Amino acid sequence: MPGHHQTLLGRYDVLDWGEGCVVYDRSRFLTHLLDPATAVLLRARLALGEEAHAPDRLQALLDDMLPLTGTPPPADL
Amino acid sequence: MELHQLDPTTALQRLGSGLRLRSGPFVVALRSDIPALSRQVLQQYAHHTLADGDGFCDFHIRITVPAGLRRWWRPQARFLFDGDEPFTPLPLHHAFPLLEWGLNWCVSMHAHQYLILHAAVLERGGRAVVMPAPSGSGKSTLCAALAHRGWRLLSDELALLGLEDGLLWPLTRPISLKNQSIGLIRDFAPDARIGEPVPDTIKGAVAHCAPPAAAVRAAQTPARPGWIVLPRYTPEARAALTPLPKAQAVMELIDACFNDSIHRHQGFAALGRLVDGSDCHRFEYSRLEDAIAVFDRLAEADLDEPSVTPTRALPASQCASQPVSQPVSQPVSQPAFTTGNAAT
Repeated sequence: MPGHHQTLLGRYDVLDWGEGCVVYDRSRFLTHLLDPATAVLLRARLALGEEAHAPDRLQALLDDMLPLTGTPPPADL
Repeated sequence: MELHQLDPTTALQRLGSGLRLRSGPFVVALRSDIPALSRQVLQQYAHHTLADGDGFCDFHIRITVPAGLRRWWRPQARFLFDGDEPFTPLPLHHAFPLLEWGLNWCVSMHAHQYLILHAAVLERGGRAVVMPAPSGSGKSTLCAALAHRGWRLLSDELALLGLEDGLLWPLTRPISLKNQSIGLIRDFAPDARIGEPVPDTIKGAVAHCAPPAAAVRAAQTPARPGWIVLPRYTPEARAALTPLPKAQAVMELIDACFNDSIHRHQGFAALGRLVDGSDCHRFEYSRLEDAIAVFDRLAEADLDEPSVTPTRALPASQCASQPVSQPVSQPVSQPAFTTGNAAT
């Protein structure tokens, strides 16, 4: 079964195979593996249509979910 | 024309002035005045095709000895790329490993038309197995064994993933064997062309195993993804595949990626497609014969079931039962480059 690929808020690329979920943050150049419980929460909020109706709430959730650690942006930025 | 079709004298002369070889999608102009290195090149690249003398060349490389005292006292080999010297010199007898490590650097730092992963790639039945693994995991040993038992070698070190086509492109070059694996592959594949071991490198003793001629001749034929396998040699372990969750596989591949920071979300999407088209496993082994048998069953199962879904599990007899580890968030990091001697 192919993974479900979507882009949220023009910033987060989400790959979801049901068993687990990976998110790439275009602004911070970081990739995150969501644990199953967090992935379920994200799916639930998306199912409620939060991206369209409450993008600020979705952004706050993603800010909360995704740690800020990782490699720094490329030197040319 | 292949390199071995040149008479040795002419080949050595060409190396002295600049020998142009095709290596996968690249043309390498190689120049060296070190006789021992030239002999190794003639052995390890025997079936590589010579490129036109006046055509485009991707990498201009020269391996030479320094002028002055270092030519005679503790002689060294220098690696020059486009006239620049990106690495500190190594002892002269490390010249061939230096060439190979330097070529890896050239490709991983410059060939950004591909997403480049530190991984071995082999193909069977039109599908490729991608094996990302850290140093010491037994990747190259397994790769050499498979390459001499019916799997086509695409690369031992660098997987070239096409961003548009999603195919894996060959970069068929010598396989770097380390320490005990040198004798192991000599025994396992007596027909393998293995160079003399070079002692005391940063990785211990290193010997290179020439890629089989058929694999070199098919180096313009890409393969579609089939499997992602993370190998690990474990003494006394039974050869066994364990399913790897696809999300976890993406994180493993990002860890092995050289230029994800350049391709960013397009690279992430390409990795997603690679994982989509692949069955993903961890693989533990100790005996090469058992490992080959497991890989052959993997390929045969696929040939028997051409429409299997990527999430298909192997028969229980081929899988070790192991709980899926709790995923954790982890940052992206670049793989450590294998030369370990980059000049500052």
